[in-house]
Amino acid sequence: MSDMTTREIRAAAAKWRERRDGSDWTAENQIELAAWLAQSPAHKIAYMRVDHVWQRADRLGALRAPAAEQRSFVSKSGTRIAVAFALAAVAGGGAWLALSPSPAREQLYATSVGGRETLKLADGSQVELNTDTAIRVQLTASARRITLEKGEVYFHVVHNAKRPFIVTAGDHRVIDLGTTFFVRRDPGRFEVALIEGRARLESANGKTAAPARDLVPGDVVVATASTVSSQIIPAQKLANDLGWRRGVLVFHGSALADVAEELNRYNTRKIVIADPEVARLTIGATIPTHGVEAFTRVARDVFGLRVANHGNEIVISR
Amino acid sequence: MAETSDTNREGLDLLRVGGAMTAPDVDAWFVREVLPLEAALLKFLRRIRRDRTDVEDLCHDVYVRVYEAAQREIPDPVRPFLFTVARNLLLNRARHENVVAIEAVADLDSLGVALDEPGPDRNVIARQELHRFQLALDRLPPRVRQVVVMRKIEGLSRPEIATRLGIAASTVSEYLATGMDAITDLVLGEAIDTDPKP
Repeated sequence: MSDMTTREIRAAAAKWRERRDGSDWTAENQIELAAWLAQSPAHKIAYMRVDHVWQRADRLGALRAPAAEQRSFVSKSGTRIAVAFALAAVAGGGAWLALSPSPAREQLYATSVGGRETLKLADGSQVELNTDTAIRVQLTASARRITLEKGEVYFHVVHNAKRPFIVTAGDHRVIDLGTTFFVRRDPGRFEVALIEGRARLESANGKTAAPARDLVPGDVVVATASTVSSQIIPAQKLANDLGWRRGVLVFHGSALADVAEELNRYNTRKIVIADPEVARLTIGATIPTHGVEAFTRVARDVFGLRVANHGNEIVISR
Repeated sequence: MAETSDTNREGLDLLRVGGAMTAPDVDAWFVREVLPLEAALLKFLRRIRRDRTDVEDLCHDVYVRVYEAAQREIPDPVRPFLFTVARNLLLNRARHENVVAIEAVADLDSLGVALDEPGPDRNVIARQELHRFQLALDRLPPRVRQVVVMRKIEGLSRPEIATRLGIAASTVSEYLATGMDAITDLVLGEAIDTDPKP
């Protein structure tokens, strides 16, 4: 428990909530906030409480505005009312992350290593952030724009031809045509997989040579600075790739090195496989995203490997 | 995720995650089901405890316990559960503070019957909300109120507000946080008389 009194905790929560709305809010701030929230359920609850009323206030403001101050309000920012309605806070998942209805400004959402968050838009679309991910969201009456700075995001988009849903990641852009898909951005690498529906993949800035193409379900496109490859992947495999949404990673005949690399995305204690022969051993497993211990136990007990702890590294060797 | 073949399908299945609700689900549940009960909870607590700080602390302790219980299993229905937690917490306190013990326990027992009263339905809450918010606004100190109105109703940015009022942007932030903190208490907690006065 915290040493602060309820009054102090609530005041602190209000300050966090206020800061989060500011234009100078960064991914680092988001991580600091996540840490403060994780310190104690009392912090978390105080934050949810003020956030809930804060969002309601935004909504009530939007409802009241036309009657209250019609002229100056509408002429100053005519689109705000419509947008605020479209975004009316969702009573549902991801409530404390729900989007605030200031239209033109971008909102930043981020998860720390091991984190996972779901955003729901009022139109029913859903955005799920995987570990160590940062996105910027800009919602206007004419478009829903998401910029993926890093990490991996699952999108379930309710299609609206008049308000396209556009995801930009580095040089690439995906435009939904009624879709469920995920996009992953690692340094120097972009991946998109289409699960349902249709979407168009194109260059975001003319820098990539590949022509625009329409994706069909099962399409997985991977692009690096110099290469673009695409293949059709069976639905079951795609479902496995989305195991993180349930908090698990699913592997079939995967090399230990790949399993370690995946787990390392979710955990601050990193697994290092020192021996190339060990790295090539294969495993089929369903592992919780935080299952570093489970993984090292299997490495030791099943494969008979040596597991050594060095601070934030776990070195696996023969 | 690399996958080279399907041959190892029957391989090691380590731990599978159970059907418990994920953290965002519990949060959403809490906001949806528990926060609307705050006014009733405070009313209950205030019958036993007079001190405002004391009541706030108790309310927050009840929340923490309900939230932690919900992470294991969502209590359904939530209302009697919430009041049982509050009751137990009060009884525990009463045991530690002999002065109030007898009175508190007697009072609790006399309240027991009323605990399962249904709350107002959600539509009523929604209709009352705007009114509550207006009343809450009216109770703020004038300067704080002005900043909250400019930000939340007129939709001005912080720098715009700072310029108009001739105050620092950090002061705008401070007023906003203070204002929203107070509004949160008033909107969720105060048993404001929601019939508009003529």
